[in-house]
Amino acid sequence: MSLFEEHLTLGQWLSEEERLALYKYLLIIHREKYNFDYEKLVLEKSIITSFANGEILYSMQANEVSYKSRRIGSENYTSEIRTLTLNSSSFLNRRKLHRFFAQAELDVLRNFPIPSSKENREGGYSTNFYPFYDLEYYSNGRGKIIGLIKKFQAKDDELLEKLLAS
Amino acid sequence: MPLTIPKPLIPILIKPKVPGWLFVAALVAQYAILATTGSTAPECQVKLENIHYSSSVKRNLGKDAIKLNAVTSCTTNQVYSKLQAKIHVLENEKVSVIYQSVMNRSNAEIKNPKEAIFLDFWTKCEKGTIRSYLGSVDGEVVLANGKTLPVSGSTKDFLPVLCDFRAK
Repeated sequence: MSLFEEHLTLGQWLSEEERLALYKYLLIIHREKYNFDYEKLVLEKSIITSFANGEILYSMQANEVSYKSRRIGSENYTSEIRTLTLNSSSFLNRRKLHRFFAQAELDVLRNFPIPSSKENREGGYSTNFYPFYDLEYYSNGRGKIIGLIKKFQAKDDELLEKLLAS
Repeated sequence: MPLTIPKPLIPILIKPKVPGWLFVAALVAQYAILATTGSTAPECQVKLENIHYSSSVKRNLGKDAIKLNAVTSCTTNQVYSKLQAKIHVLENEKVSVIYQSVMNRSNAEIKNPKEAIFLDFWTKCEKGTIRSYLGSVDGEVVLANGKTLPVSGSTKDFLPVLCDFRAK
């Protein structure tokens, strides 16, 4: 089992630093997949993808994209978890959606990891309230300027380096 | 000259205009409507377990850690709750924050939509040490009716916790 596959089993046991490292890793390794998903979503307005042990339903309405998810094999989706407002630039939208896709996959991994010996609870769906692509994440809701400063001060977790080297 | 009321008038004056059974029925109906629609103002509170040595973190990650579990509980269904947690330690009569979570969101439980559970607030501790901890949380609940209610709370007092698997 690779280091990355090992982390796909951790679910709720991933630390905050590990989640952020995995988010950055997904942005790199899933670039092609996200490009494909972006094109398909723009064309079809709704797509279903899967990650770890979960399915993600993305929907696009007007200038807003949202996602819901469910455990693979389960009937019911969660309520809407996150929404993203798009703008008129398709170049920027593509970038924004790449981050949105990576965040959604991280959320799914936290709640629906690949089954293993690790205990993972059933029930409510837990996420970070502020997504990694929002500067508010770095300031924990104390504003984007503080968030920007904190983002520059933050160091990558060593997990990212290990994942990239593996 | 004494005032006399004609006899036939007395029963008419005393007789209630609304029949008794209708009055009782109206009371019952009002109670039933209040009970089913929950039109009283919804309330939410946060329940915190005392900070404890986490056997689940030990089992799953092999790490020694203390944990703060929280549940937001409302009188009506919620969509989700968001909470930020802190763990404070008391040492040499000084209080310091040793853990501060990011703002976490937890959807209402599928089996009981009046509650949302938070089990992700934990931090490592030094095996074998005893320290006094207090936990606090702060956040909001978004109800199914669209309203948002603030919630906050803390564990009762600083309680000593042994950082060891046998502590439970």
